[in-house]
Amino acid sequence: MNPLVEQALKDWKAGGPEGGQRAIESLASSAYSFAMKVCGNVEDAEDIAQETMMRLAPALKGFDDPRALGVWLYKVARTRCLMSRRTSKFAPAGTLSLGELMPDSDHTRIAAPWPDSPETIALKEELRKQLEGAVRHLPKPYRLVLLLRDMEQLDTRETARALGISAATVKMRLHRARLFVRNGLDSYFRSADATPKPKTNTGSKV
Amino acid sequence: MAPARHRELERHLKDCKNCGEFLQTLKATIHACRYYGAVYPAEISPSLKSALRRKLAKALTESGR
Repeated sequence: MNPLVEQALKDWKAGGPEGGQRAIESLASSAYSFAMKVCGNVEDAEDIAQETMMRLAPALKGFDDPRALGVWLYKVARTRCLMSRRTSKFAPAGTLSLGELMPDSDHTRIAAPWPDSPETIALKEELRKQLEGAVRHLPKPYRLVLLLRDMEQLDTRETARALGISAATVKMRLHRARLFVRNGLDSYFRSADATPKPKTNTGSKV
Repeated sequence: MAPARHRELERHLKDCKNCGEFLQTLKATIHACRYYGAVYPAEISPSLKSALRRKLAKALTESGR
């Protein structure tokens, strides 16, 4: 669960205008962050964060469970994302075929270990861009599932509720989305490994 | 997954270097996504904060805050 959502509910329950303000800003940040990852542009994400909060704020006092609040927030934000005026510059359509995502069954293409740790992939700028690029090139239905399950850390049932799909569909889309992102990173590592590194004399360490 | 099928898969993963590496990179992908999600919340801009304050003042009043 997104810790911002949990903290927001605590702030809201604590009462007072400051608590309310902090809660609203935390929830708006969560909606904005999610919308940025889904839509890929600031204008859409700001609109979606505002619209989500306009729906959410009057209903906040009815929530006691942060997980239920999170599901509701993503449900509203996701609906707004799908209605967004601007088409994402990424916005690929279509479905992902498992046959194209899985490795060759005859093992003609040998899998190789990756040189960097998962933390490095998420933190090092060049690798992070590869990760972001792979996620953004996922067709939207798959991207939404990956964002909610792996990045926002909702469970399968919560993701299904937020997206209005079955748990089985969540599992199927998540598996394919992970394979798609894995293949994007693998292609990067293979090309980086195959490309001779230019010699530099800056002596700088990254 | 049926237990027998699961055992068969575990045996294969233990013996097949290619599938083992594939699984490791898939796990690394999942871990990287989780880590990325935790450390990169997008920051909302000051102008959006101001707009939210204005727009929500009425909504908060109506909800009793």
